[in-house]
Amino acid sequence: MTGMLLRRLVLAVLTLLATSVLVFAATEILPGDVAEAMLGQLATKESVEALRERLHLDRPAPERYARWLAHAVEGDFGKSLTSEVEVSQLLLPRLRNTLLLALYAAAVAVPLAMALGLFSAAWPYRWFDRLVSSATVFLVSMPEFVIAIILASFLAVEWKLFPAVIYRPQWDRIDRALLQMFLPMLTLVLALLAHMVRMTRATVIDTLSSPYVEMALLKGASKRRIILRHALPNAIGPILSVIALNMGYLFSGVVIVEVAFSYPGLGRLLIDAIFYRDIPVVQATTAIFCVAYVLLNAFADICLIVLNPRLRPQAG
Amino acid sequence: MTRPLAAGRGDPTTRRIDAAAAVGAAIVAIAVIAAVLGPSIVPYAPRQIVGTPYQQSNQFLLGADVLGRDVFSRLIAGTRLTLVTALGATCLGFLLGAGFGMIVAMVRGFWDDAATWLVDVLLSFPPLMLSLLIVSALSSNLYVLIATIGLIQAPRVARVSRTVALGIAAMPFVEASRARGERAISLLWRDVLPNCLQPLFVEFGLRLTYSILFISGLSFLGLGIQPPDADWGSLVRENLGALVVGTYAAALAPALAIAVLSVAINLLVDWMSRQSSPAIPEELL
Repeated sequence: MTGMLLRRLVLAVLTLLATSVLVFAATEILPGDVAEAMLGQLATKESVEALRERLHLDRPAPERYARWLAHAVEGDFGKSLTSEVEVSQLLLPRLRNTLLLALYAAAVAVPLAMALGLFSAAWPYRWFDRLVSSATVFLVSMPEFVIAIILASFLAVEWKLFPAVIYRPQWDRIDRALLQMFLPMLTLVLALLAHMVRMTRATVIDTLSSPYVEMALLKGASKRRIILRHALPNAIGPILSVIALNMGYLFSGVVIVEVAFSYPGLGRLLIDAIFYRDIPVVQATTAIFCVAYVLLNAFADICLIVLNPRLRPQAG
Repeated sequence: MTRPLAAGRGDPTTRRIDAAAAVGAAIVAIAVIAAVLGPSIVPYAPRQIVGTPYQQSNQFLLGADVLGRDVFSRLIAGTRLTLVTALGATCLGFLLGAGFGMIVAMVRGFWDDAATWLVDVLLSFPPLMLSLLIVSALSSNLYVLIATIGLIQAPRVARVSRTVALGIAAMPFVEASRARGERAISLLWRDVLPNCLQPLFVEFGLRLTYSILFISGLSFLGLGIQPPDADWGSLVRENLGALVVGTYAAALAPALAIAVLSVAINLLVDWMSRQSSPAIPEELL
């Protein structure tokens, strides 16, 4: 087990390093350099040179990468090119908005998916299971923005129940904010649900077919007791792993949902920054998204390894 | 982006096409016809301004967009871009991934381990961020998009083809060929590849759906197909404003087109994966 765990941790560190190189390199080859972009077309050659020197753009790329990484780790991504504000100041409110939306979605999606998965697994191939599984087949074929448009068309435009655009969430009134964020939340929940339900169902059915469950059944334990006391605790590792994977996935889905509903989160900041070629902001936001994704994925695998009884070190 | 799930398997003896697969096939056929005939069958020129902004009238099936162009014509004309990009990306992903995966499965040893690590690292990148970085660095055009999505698909295809090829390579008839002294290239080409085709075909279907959803997502974000051209994803983006004005057909129709086509392909893939292939044991599919 320790070997597998180590291997997975090394992989995570390698991926994080590769990510940082990629983020730096990709923004390096953006057309034009930062100094020219900052000073505009009317800048003289001398002033561009001076700024390049001040920003250390005249240094070789590996040195600039090391400098950038050292600062980035401390949360210092430099100044935004379009608004002259520290990137970290720009990020914080956006990050908060994104996290709150993700949390809202997770708080609804995780219990719902677990419940649907457990009920499907308790009575497999009965009407409830069939209904849920055919619904998930359709949901899984739909990208977030398609779900978003369908929901917005009916719930916002046709029946006017919820707003279709959220320019500014009203955090001082939590009930209003929850209502405002309902459509983006529902979109994310529907996008996440299918995969989580199917995995929960498969995992629980898998544990239900194991010998110790048969043993419990023969002892005369009730179905409820078997599922809640025997199957669920043993399925918790894979289920946690599925949840972590989907949270990682939530982090890319959120970009599209934020654009669809004009929600002022990190994802929309990233897309806007790409359009305005605001390189420090692009670097910072992609770095945050990538790190979150890599860590959650690593966490998912570690859950599988640590909580798998078969990989536990043998006692005695 | 939505990940396709592994399709379930039912009774492997049924060879006849079922109702769901027939519906899927019909929808895919309609999409292909629209893609091939495209601009020549639309009622209005897709780029021409023929009405007033968001005009609703009987003459425009889905209304007009913000500039007054016919949304229905743009939708039909956009089919080709959506399908060509997705198909191109999936083929590229398979050329790179399947070749790589099968070769390392045959070679085994050090190269196989190294390749597995490489694939693991590549798979730990969030695909959307990877494509956003590449597309924003190289500016978006059809070739960059195909290359980017193909690159994202390649490690996923490599993993599946390696697993399938490993299973086949361990089977007695391959051992027999090897014992006969056949060269590795012949083993790969004549024994392993033909028996990998069925599962790879299923994987191709799943990857194609993924590509369609991915390119639509990028276009929706404004980083895919660039105006004045439009695929289905860009059409959703272009017509988001219609929702604010209070009409939704213009944004809903391209979104539904994406959903319906991807469900249709999934239905076909589901049916295909239930067809058993004689040489492969069930558990490898």
